[in-house]
Amino acid sequence: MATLTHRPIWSDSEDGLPARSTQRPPESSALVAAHLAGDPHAFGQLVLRYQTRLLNFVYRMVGDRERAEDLVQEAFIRVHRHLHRYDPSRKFSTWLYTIASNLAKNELRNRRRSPLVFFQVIRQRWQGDRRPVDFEDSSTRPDRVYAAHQLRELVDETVGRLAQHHREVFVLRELEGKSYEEIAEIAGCNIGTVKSRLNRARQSFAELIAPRLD
Amino acid sequence: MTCKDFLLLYSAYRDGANPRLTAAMEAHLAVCAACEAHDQAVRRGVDALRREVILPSDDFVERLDARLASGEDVEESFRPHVSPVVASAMAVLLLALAVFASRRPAMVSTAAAQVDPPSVARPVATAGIPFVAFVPGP
Repeated sequence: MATLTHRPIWSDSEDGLPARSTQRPPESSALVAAHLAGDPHAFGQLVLRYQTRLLNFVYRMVGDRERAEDLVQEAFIRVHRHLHRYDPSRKFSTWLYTIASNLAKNELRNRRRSPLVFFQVIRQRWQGDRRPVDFEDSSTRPDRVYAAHQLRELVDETVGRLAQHHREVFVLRELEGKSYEEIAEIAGCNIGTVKSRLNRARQSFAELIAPRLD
Repeated sequence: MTCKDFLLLYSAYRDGANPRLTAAMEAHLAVCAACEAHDQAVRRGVDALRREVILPSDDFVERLDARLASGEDVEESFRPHVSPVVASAMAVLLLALAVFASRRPAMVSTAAAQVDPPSVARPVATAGIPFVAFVPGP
């Protein structure tokens, strides 16, 4: 069993972290090939590269940080077990996001069957201060910190109120910057459906958030 | 351009695919406060969303490593999901087929219909012992 040892020599720019080397990071497909060829560090590099992005995506989908972490780990476990089935002609990140998206949808489906757990209830359980959030606004002025905190809460709540299939395309496009084609593959629908869902999602988002801004 | 057109085309505008559309939308934004507010709401909300980055726990990789090393079982495939509407439609269809099949007259070939019916014993009450006798059927 390969362990997730990693040598952080490449820029982890996909995680939004500063570059640690001028060496160009390898393609994900090259890391997959290296892992399949027996490189014990390759899978760890893939995890490092995608863990934060995937966590943010799944968290936006399910609204529960701890559960999102579990699901992201499960996605990586599935990838690890089935990496030999990966088709290199497809983009690795799309394959990974498809697995994570399906896990998130399963989670939401199971919650609907178990009415004791609600998305909003889970969100409300969270106190903003307790969330391990890296908020890039470095301003320390209390009024700005408070305003930023309020806006963050509002945005979280608004995204959580979008319909599941709208939320998925909205987050993939606005947060992850995925193309229509990638979103279609991840969401399992055609591009026309992606466009119409995205338009509806943006409209709903604006309608929900606009009355509460300022 | 009307506000209805603006909302209809807003997503394409936001994705910036068409410079002519961008120019037309921005011309409308310059004169329409309601659409300007709509655009600002999306932009401010998305900006706030992008600034909030959730980081994995410090022990994320260690826990994942342990789960991989333990050989933890994961489901091979996702359970197929059938929506309640589709499931109900299928149930109604099956019921209708069952009713249709039960009411339909039995299909008997002409040759089979010409064959004499097999003799079946029929109980006939008689006065003598043993009170009930069996005679061949029609």
